[in-house]
Amino acid sequence: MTPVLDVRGASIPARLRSTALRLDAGELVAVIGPNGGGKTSLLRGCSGIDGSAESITVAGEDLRAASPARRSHLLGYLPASRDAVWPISVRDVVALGLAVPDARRVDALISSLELESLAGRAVDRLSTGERARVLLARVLAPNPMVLLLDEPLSNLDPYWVLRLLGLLRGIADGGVAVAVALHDIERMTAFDRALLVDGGEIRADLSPSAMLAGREFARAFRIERAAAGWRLSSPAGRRSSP
Amino acid sequence: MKGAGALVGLALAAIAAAHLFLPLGPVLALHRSDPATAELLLTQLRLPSTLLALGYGAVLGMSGAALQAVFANPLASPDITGGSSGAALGAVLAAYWFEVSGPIALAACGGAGALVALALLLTLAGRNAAGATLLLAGLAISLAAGAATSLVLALAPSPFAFYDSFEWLMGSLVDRSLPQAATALVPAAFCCLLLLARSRALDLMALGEDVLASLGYRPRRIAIEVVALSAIAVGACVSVCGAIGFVGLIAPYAGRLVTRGHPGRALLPSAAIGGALLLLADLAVRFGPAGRTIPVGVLTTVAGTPLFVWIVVRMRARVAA
Amino acid sequence: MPAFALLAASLPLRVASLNLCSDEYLLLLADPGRVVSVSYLSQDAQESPLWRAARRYQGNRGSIEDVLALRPDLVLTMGGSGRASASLSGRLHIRSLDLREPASLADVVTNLRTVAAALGAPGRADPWVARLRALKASAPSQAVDAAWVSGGGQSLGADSLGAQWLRLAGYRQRPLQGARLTLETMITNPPKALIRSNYRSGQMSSGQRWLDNPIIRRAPSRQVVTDGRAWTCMGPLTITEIERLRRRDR
Repeated sequence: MTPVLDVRGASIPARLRSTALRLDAGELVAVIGPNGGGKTSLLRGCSGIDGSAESITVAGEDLRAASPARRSHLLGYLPASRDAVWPISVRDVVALGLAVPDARRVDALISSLELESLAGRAVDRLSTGERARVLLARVLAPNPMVLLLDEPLSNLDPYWVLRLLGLLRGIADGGVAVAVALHDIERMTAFDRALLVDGGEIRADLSPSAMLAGREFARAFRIERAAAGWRLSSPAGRRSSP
Repeated sequence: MKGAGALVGLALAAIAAAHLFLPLGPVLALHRSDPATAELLLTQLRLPSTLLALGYGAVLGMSGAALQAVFANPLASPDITGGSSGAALGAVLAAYWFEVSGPIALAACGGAGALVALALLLTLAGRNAAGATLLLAGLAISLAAGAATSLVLALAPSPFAFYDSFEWLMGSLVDRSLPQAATALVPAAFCCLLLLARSRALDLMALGEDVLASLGYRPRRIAIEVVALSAIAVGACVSVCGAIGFVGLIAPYAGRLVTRGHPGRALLPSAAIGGALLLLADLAVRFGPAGRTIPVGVLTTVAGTPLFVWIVVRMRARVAA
Repeated sequence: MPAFALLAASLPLRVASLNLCSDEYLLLLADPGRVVSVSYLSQDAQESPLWRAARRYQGNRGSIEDVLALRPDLVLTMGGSGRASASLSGRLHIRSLDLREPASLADVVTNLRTVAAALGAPGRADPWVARLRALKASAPSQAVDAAWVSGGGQSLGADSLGAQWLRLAGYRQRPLQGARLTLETMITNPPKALIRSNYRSGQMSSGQRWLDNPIIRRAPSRQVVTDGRAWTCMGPLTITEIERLRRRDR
């Protein structure tokens, strides 16, 4: 099956080594790794924001050759930063995601992310968690075929973490390829596939359960599974790196 | 929105007409006795001043809005970032020391001065600097350029030059000719059109540079283009009228109130509001105490400072929240 | 004054002038051997037509201090700096002569005679006074409505010394509000003649830019250029300038 997202030779100097990535339609992928390991760089490189790449195609279409309007339908990128400088209303921020105005689409998103009570408020006055939902609605608005989301679950209430995971699952089931950079490795189990990024490259590409048991995981995070929870890896338990 | 736009256009035309025709007495009196001369009075003497007030104000408004979008900072404006002062220094150095006499060359030197100041700002503060850092760096550059301008004028060959520093640092729209207005406004109009073409990108910049890049735009290139276009437009106007402050801060603020916060869409409203503000300020100066000339920039500064303080206070409130 | 003149006649006099306007009298009336210093302004070609002559001497910055080393016997000043220099000179045993700023042509004559007398050569003033009398005698009976203008629209008061000089050339300075010519006046009621001072016309200033306005350039007034340097002090050098204007108009 041809992948929805096919990235070859994506690299960012000093941050990401030449990497290939393929995402299939319907996949919900977790991108994990220690801080500074390159999770964000991977997503940025695969979105074509930073660095260089041999090719980035979405459903066979060259991403970087597409017009901005077309590109938003192909791939949606959500950065980790929640900054909002301007007092734009929530509704208008969501609408920014659409090249052609579509009030019904905006309304649908506002209701699915429970933003009705905030719809008229200025986004720069919301809490970080509320802003996170608004910005997510924005990236979802044009119905992109691929979603690359950088830490969308941080700063969210537990209710919203679960709701968003459910939402993303629904979107993936609809044929979208979704990759999510995660900080909280506990959440990995909700995903189909896990990528471990460390030292600027993908170290492991496994199912979440295999990932948790694997030695790459233990080496990268320096913790390993214990009876109930986690414990620090012992130095002997860590495979020394060449 | 169309209706509101038409209303704004009408209001602007009314203010411009007031600026052109008031005081009405001399014009009417002349018209009765010598209509041809009355027309000459309007077209040769008053029209350049009105065009400059409208155009320079629009340039300040639009470039202020664009700079604020690119710096993601409601305090960025041609004067606070040091652009206007740099332009004045460039024009003064060229005219008084290097004896550059051609008006187009002078406008180019004004543009170059503004570019250098803004480039210096980018080096000192970086584009994503917090509000306070940008403000401090911009004010430092502004003060330094202003002092340098006064120094150049004090040491210039002509002993009259020193007394010109008021005009360069505080602006003047008086006794300008149509050719001078063209020198300022033709390049300025061109640059403003190019800025308007970037409205959508500047709107999307509100979502952050990463999102902008993910949509296929190049944030760094857009920033450089906006800075360059603003510098050229402001520089050309400063070379004819001197530096006028605070319009580039107030007009975009009001413009964003009209567009409900969108920084890119605010370019055109900010231009209209900037033009209206400068026309009104110059009208007020015209009806000031007889025999005394108050430079128009003094009025805009006095009116604009309270708003400046208000913005700073609100920024602090947001950071604290 | 007579005792002074007696003293001057008997001794070689060393004379310094501390002011552009008093420099004029000194340079025109004194023997070169007697002059020890003039103000640096006179040495500037942009400020004085006598700059070549002025450069033969040491330039001073307008204070007694600058000329002390030259041991002048007499120091000429005019107007503002007069008083302080006068008291100082007294204490240093230097004669000081403070000329009054002329408000009329008669004042110019008085100054000429005073300086000549102080130099011990009263006859030196005669040629200048004669030329002035000749100008007065031959002044056109009909004066043309005119305005003298320099940078920024600055003009002359209708009763001022400058206006009196202008009258000798056959021009009547129009009374203007604040002694300022406006562009509006140039459109609505331009003077028949416009006497433009070319003072520092090659140097940039906003006043010069004002003079370049198309309204001025295209005005129907007869435009006459005058050497602006003479008009700073409006002293005896103006005689030469008025004679030149009259020759030109003939």
